Amino acid sequence: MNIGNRKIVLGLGNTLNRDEGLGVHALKALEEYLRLSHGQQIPVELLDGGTLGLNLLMLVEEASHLLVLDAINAGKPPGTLIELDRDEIPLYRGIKMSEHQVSFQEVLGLAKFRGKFPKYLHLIGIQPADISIGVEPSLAITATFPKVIARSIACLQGWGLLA
Amino acid sequence: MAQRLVVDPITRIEGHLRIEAEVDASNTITKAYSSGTMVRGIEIILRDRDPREAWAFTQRACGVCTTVHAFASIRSVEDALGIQIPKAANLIRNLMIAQQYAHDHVMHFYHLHALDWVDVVAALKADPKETANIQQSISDWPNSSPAYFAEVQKRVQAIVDSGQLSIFANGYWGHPAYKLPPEVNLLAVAHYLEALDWQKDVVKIHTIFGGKNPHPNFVVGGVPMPIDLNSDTALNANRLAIISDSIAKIQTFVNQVYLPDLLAIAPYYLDYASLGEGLGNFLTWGEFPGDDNRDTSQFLVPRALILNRDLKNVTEPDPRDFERMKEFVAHSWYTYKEGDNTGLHPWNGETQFNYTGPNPPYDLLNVDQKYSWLKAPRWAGTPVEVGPLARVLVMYANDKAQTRDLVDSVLKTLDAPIEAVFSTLGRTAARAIETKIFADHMTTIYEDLIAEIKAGNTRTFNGDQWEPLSWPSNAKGFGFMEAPRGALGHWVVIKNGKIENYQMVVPTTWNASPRDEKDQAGAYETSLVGTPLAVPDQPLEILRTIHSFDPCMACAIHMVDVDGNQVGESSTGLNVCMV
Repeated sequence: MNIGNRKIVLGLGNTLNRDEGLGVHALKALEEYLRLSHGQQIPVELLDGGTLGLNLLMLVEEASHLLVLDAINAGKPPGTLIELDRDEIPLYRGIKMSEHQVSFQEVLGLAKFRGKFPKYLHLIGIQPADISIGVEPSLAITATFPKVIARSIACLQGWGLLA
Repeated sequence: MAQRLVVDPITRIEGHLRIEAEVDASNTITKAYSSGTMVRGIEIILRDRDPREAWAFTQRACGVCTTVHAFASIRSVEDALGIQIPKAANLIRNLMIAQQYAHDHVMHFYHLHALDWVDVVAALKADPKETANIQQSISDWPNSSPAYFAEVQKRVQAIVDSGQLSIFANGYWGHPAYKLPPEVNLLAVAHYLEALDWQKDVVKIHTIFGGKNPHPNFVVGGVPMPIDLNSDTALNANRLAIISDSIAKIQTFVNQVYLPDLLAIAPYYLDYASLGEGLGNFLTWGEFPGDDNRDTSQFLVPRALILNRDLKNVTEPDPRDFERMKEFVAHSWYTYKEGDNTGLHPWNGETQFNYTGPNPPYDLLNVDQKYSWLKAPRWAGTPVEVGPLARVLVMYANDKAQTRDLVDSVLKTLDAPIEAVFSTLGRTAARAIETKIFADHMTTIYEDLIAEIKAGNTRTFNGDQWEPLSWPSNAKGFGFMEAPRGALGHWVVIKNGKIENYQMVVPTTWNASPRDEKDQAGAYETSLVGTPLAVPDQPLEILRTIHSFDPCMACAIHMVDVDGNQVGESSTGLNVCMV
C-alpha cells in the first residue's frame, strides 16, 4: 500500500505547553537510551515532528514503519499509557489537543485517502497532567518515560527493526 | 434581541477567530462581530532586544506563512538604518515571496476554501467519463483519463465506507448551498489530492534559499545564502536547476489546474458575485521592489489606497504618516495611556493588555464594550480591506503586468460586470489571478538573477551597517510585506542599539478588525451583512465569505489564552452553536 521504506519514530507536540509536548520529550529520552545501547548504529530515524501538521504528510507517506509518540486525551489518570495499533487509530479529530494546524489524525487520514498509509504503524500515547504554558513536562509524565522506552523498544523489536 | 449565531473557530488551521452574527426572521445576516480570542504579545517579547534578531521572533507569529513576518521585520530594520541590500539578494527575496504566494494560495484554495464550495461526498455520484471530458476541455493537465478519476472516486468511496471521513469530518455535506454537479466535485477532489504532491516540490525554493522550511533563515542586509557556482554549500548550478524546476512546476499547476478549476467552479456560484463585498475600501503597502525598497515606483504591486470602489482616484498611502495611519482600541482588549478613544501611529503604539471580556466558556461577547484581541487599524479614520482583491484592483488600476487581460477574461467567462469583483467570488478569483501574475513573474526574476550571476554580481549581503556602533542612537523604520492574506507592516523604533518599540499591523488585523471608536465595523463584519443563510445552524455561507479573506488568526493574535482553558480543547474544524 505504501512505496516508502523509511523507518521512523516520530515525537509530536508543542513543547511550549508542558505535557502537550511530551511526545517530543519522550522521543529524546528514547534517543538517549538507544545511543547508549546502540551507539551510532541506531537503525531507525528519530524525528521531532513538533506541531508541523500538514508538513508531516510526506514523511508519513514515505514510511514503511512509523511509531508515533504523542499526548492523548483519553480521560484517564495522568501518566496512563494508551497504545493503539495501525487500524485502531481514529483518523478524525479528537486525540490531538493542540489546535495548531491540521491535526496529526487528519494527516494520517489524508495519507490513507491517498493510498499511502504506512504498513506498520503504532501509537504510544500518554495522558498528560498539565498542558499550561511551560517548557518542562510534569513529573507524572517523565516518570512514565522508562515504560514508554520499554514499549517503544518492544514495538521496534516486534517489527524486526531492533535485535 | 435578534437571534445571534456563533461560529468559533472558523479556520481549519490555526484557529481562534470567532464570528457572532445576528440574523433576522428571514435568516439574513443583519449584523456581524469579529473577535480574535487569543492574544499575540510578540511586541512585548521584542522590547530591548537586538533589532537584527527581531525577524526570528516575528516569523514565529505563524507556522504557515513563515516568511512574511521575517521579511517585514528585516525590511523595517534596514529602513531604519538606511541599509541597501545587494541586487542579487533582492532578486532572491522576490523569488521567495513569489513562491510564498503560489504555495499559500493553492493550498488555501484546495485545502481550506474549496470545501466550502465542493461537496466531497457528492463526488461519489459523478460519472468519471464526464469528469474526464470536463478536465480535457479546460486544460492540458495530463491526469485527465476516466480511469484516473474512477480511481479517485474509489478512494472517496473507501473513506466514506470506513465511516471515517477524517479531514472532511466537519463538512456540511449535502447542504443545499452546494451547487456543483457531481462531476465537478470529483474534479476538485482529485486536485485536492494532487496539490499535496505539488506543494512538496515547490517548497524547495524556500528550503534552498533559507536553509530550511518552515521558518527559513533570514539576515538584515541581504540573504544568508552566498552565490558560488563552484561550492557545495552555496547557491550553485545544481541548486539553481532545482529552483528553475520548481518555478516550472508552480507555473504548470497554476495555469493548468488552479485557474481552470476556479473558472469551472465559479459559474455555479454567481450569487456570490454580489455577496460579501464589505467595505469597498482597499489598501496595499506594495510588493516586489526593485533595487531600493523606498522607491515605490519600481514595485510590481503598487503601494495604494482605493476608497469607495473608485479605481480612477488611487492614491499612495504613506506608512510614516502619523495622522492617517493609526490603530484604535475602543473595542479591543487593550488600554492606551491617553485614553481608549484615541488612536496611535504604530511607532507610538502601545501593547497594554486590558481583558474585560467574559470568562470562558461563554455564550456571547458583550459587543457594546471591548470584544477582541485585535486592534482596529484605520487609514485616515477609515476601515479598509487588504489582500488579493486589493492587490489585483491596484494592479488593474495601474495597468500592471497581465492584470487587465486576466481580470477582463475571467469576467467575460463568467459573463459578469466589473462590479462583480467587489464580492466573495471576486476575492476568491483575485487570489487565483494574482497567483498567475506572480507565478509568471518568477521567470523574469529568475532570469534577472542569472544575468546578475553571469555578470559576476554575486554579493548577497551588505554588512556595512552590521555593527550597532555604526547606527544612529535613534532610528525609526517601516517594513512592508504584501503577505498572501494582505498588507503587512512592521514599525520599529531603535534606541541605542536596542528595540525601543515594535508594532506589527498584520493583514488579519485590518480584515478581522473589530469596531473602532466611531463604531465603524471592519471588513469581515461588513462583508457578512445581507447574506442569507439557507440552514442557520449550518452557516456555510458565513464560512465562504470569511474564508475568501483567508483568515490566519495566528498572525493576528497568538499564543496566550486568557485562562488557559481552550488550549486543551480539541476543536479543529468548526464548532457551531445557536444561541
